[in-house]
Amino acid sequence: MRPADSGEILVEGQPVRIASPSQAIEAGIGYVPEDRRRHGVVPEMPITANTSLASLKAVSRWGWIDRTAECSLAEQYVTQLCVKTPSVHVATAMLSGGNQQKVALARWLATAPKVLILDEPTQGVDVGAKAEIHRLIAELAERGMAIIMISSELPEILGMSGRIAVMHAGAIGGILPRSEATQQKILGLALGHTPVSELARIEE
Amino acid sequence: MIQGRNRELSVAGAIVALCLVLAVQAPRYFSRENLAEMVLANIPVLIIAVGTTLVILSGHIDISVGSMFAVCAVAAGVFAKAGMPVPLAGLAACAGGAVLGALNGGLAAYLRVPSIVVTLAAMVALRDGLRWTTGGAWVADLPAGFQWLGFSQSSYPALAVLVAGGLALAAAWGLANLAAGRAIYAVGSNQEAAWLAGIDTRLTILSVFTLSGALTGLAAVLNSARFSQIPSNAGLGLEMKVIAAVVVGGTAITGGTGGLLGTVLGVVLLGAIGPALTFLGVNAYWEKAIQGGIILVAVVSSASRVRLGLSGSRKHASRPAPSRA
Repeated sequence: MRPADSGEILVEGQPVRIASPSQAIEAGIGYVPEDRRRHGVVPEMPITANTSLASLKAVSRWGWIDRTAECSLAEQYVTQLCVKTPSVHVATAMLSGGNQQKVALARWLATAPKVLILDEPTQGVDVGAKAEIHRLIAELAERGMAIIMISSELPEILGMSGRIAVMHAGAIGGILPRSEATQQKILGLALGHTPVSELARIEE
Repeated sequence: MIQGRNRELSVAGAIVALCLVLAVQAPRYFSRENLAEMVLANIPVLIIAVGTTLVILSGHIDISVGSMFAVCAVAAGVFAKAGMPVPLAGLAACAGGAVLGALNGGLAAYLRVPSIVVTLAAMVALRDGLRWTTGGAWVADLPAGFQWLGFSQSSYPALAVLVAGGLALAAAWGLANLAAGRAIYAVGSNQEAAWLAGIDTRLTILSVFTLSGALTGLAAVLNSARFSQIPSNAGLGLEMKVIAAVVVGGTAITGGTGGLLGTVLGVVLLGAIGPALTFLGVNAYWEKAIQGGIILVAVVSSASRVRLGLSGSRKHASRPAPSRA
């Protein structure tokens, strides 16, 4: 994690200081990383342990894990996210890519975040699981969770987003509301050589 | 932790097979004296192996335990001779071990020096430092209460077995039921994922090394109490014995999988096999070769499990990052 160069982070209007992932979790921010295998699930661990990993405090007392609570937490998310698995005690490595991604999601949903950052949430995921993950994201947003989805797939971006911030060369090139967003505008901002205003002129 | 109990079963099977051969060929192996001697000789190995299991599970390695063992043993003797009550001298030696372990762990966790380098340096520095300080002399003329730590010679083995067994059980329980145990597995399996999940990976690493050092100190004290003198070259090669037992017991050398039941069985197998060869009339030179063979089989079987994709995440990690819109 790189320290912030500038700016501030507000969660529900309150400024928060974040120097480590554990502080982010406490501030109510969840992050589902892009590279599932490297940063997401711990493949040797069963679904139960992967689900509770970021919320161990919630399922344990004085550092002692309550196995029953942990199991029911995992079962709750396996049901909610339709994870296809014979049991919650299966090693996560045994699941398909899409189901592993759902377990990674479950870990962060279990922390009950106010802000959830999803980094390429449907990369390397089969079509069926992709649709399910999209449906889930929409549901969470509906229930009031703030979701920041990072994606390089234009159809996904256009289909899911309320506001679209387009990055170019490490900075935000522009922010488009859903109503104004088109593939052309997003690509123009991403490539950085056509500001929106100029793009509009070209279209005329 | 997850992949069933195959490794433990095969090690247990090997122990049973060895016992069957010995029962037929050399029943004297099971004499009370021989068994008691073997148990006593391997208790320090087991105690240190408990700590080493935690270190290896967390994805690190500590090869300085042999040298630390010698330093702690000599320290306990010197403290006792200086008039410190024996229990206090023992505790001081454990604390000394904890401090040395914390130094290793601190360098590995906070300065990110690879633990093999840190503990190699510690291994050499402690060993040679001790040689220089003692001039190679043994600690003799220990106070009367030192031998058997004030217990009788007959009750001491029971005490030692209780302590070692209790520690192994406690550590096994902790690994399975404590958040800290979960953290050790997570750090060893996928350190970045563990960190991103809010686990204090550095504190976890510091803790396992500190615990490993403290247990090494305890093992040194329990072992020294069996003799009337403390050799300044104690524990030579002990780290290899311990690591071998842990690896044979199924704990992956790359971290993240394994556990203490396997370690206990590994200590039993490797501890039983040396004397067994003597009893079977095999040339003692074969002992190391056979131990080496067992370790090789253990490592190869773990490695083939990794290739099948059942464990280890970093092996798949070289996927290039996609570009972003």
